[in-house]
Amino acid sequence: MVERVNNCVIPKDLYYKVEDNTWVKLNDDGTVTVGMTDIAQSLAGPILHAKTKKIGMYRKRGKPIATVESGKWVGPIKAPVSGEIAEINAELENDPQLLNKSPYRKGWVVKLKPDNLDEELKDLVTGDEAVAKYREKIEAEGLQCTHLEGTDSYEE
Amino acid sequence: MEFALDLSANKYADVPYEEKERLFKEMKSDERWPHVLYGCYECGICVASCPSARFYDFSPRIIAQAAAREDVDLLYTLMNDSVWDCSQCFSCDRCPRGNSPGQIITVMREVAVRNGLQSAKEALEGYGRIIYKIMSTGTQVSPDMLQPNAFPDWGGHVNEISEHLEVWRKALPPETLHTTETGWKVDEKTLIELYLIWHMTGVMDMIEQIDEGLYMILVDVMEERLEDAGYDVTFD
Amino acid sequence: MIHLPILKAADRKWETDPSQAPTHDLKDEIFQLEKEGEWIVQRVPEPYFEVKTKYGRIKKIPLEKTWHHKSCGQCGHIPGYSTSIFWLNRQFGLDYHDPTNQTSCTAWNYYASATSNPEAQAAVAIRNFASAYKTGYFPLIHCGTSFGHYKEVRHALVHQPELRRKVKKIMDRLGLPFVIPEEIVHYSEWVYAMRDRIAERQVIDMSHIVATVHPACHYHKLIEEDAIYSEEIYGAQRTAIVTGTLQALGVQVKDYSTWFDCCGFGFRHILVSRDFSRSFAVQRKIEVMKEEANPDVVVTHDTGCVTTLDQSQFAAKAHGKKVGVPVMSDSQMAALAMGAHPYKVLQLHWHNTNNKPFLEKLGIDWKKKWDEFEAECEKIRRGEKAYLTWEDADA
Repeated sequence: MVERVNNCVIPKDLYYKVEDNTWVKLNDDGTVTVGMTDIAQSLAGPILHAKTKKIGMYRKRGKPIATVESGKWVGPIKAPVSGEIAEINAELENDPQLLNKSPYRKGWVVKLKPDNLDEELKDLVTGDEAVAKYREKIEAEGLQCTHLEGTDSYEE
Repeated sequence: MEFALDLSANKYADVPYEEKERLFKEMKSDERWPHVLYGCYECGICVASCPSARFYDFSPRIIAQAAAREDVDLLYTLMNDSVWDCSQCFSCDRCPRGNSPGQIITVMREVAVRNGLQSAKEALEGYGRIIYKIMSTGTQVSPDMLQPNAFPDWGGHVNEISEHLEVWRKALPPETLHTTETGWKVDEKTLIELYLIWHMTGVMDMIEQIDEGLYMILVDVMEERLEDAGYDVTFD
Repeated sequence: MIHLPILKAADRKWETDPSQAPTHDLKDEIFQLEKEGEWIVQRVPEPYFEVKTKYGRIKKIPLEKTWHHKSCGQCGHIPGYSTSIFWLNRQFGLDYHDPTNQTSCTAWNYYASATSNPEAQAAVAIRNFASAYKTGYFPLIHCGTSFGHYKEVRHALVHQPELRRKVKKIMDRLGLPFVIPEEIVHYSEWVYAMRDRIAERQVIDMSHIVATVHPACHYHKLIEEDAIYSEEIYGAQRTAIVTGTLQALGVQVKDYSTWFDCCGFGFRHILVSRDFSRSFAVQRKIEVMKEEANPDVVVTHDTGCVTTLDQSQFAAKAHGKKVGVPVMSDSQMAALAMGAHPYKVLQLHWHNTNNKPFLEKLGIDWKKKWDEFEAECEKIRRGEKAYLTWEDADA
């Protein structure tokens, strides 16, 4: 269920906006969970701050749902799909390195109530297609992923 | 910046002359230009006092010369390959002619940033967090930036500071310094005033040229806070 | 490395004469613009000291009723520097204000990245000056870069009417008056003006201490005429700042051949091009100081300079270079001389290069002092107290 390319972890069951390095998980209740990819955390380095936008805020896709700061870098996590922020991961305030160690699970960022999911999902990729696109990007940019101690092993 | 400066005009031969001229005209039309450049008689006093000239293949004299002779090709090369070496110490203000090569460079840098030159983006890589901090909090560096991975060459001392940061910041007598995310306590109203200044002076447009992600989060923060304060202001 | 000989000053006495100054007095133009209704000039409150600047003109330095324009790097990374300035004011019972309606001068960013422009920089300056003016307190600038930058901004505003017009428009929008202070005063100028009073209250003998002085580029190279010079110090050939203060404390100030060199801070370089800053600080400044003067301490008066000279020495130890001289500000030295606690006030634990031998040489039991500070920190950790207060600092 999890592919590794140049040490970068890519779970196949998620949807990805490859250019923005974000992932989307479809939940049974109609919401989606959103976060940043393993590649994103490796590029950022150990994260010092993660500030999400507030619950109730509507975000068009492409707009920031969180700001992430590492030792020398700061940047947005952009919403891969449009929607209202329904839930935020409060754990990130105390332990921002969850984004590094468990970007796909404990390091989830927000849950959105999407309002145009079917259309917008068409612009995301999943499964083998996602892995192939990522492989292209990783090789083109010469990326290698590094991980902090205590990172998820994804072995289940 | 580590390699020898190529003054041959070959490196950027493929850039259209009109583009180089456009950028030169932008420099020359800056209000400061006639106050910082009178002409250069190549005495080299600026080079003698310049720290960057000792370390890099850099010369404030060449920059002042190129500007005075209006050498469009050379200025384009210098704007890309030279200006970011300057340490802005203004030792060169001792110029007997009254020039300020340091300020000529400031003007050239602003032109490079405004036009989103790749060399400017590269020069400012790794500096994004500082821009975010100063633009959005009104203080340039914060205590929580003292992290070993940001300053590994400052030694284990930084580890010690980051471990004790919260307590040590509380162990400071001045009340305004009980902060970790900003240098000192800044009023909300003061921040709003700062954001309005950035808005009215076009500074955000400059940042957009350098780093789109950074621009996006800054504008987002500013628009939100301005809206809360009752201002109907957008940056686009 | 070529060691240039330190040339002795000639026997001829140098006298400054303002009537022979190569520039005209900016103050004339500043007051003229006030007469024309262009801006309000905030006067230096009385009582004030009078000091001489490079061409012999008089500069007014306020004693009190000062609005402390804080420094980013000091407050962020070496907060003992800011603390010592406030402590000195408090020791003399002076009325001062530590504002929360102050922004950074933003000049560090401007010199580093040019992601700004003259209009924004001038507006930021005037916004701060207006905030001070509204409180009735006079701005006292903590950082050397802010000081130099504000001198440049003042110069630009006097000579460029279009810039004034743009800034006025911004101030109108913010609902703030267009104010410029009569003088732009650096805190080290206040320390210099106060030096004899500080010496009167000195409790730590420093007559056996050798120091080297590093003058900040932005203090004396930007708008070079507006910096303190004195015929008694260096024969008015170099700025008297810091040196005058140390000499009043009895410190032996020794010369070295790279006195005029920049420390290598570089604004952007210290963060992103660090080999430059480090090499310059170590090879052009610290090593030369150590070889030629062998100082117990390096004293300077700017945030960037303290940071660069202090932090750069760590990596140099890997090469066994001649480093290892503690660095601090003139305000911290003055406070120490008056008996300030090295950790509760000077906050020396934020500094990098080992300063314990220096404290020992002054007869200060740093172990005991550290335990006192640690005890306060424990109380904070246990929730017994929220903060270390000014009363705690002097207890």
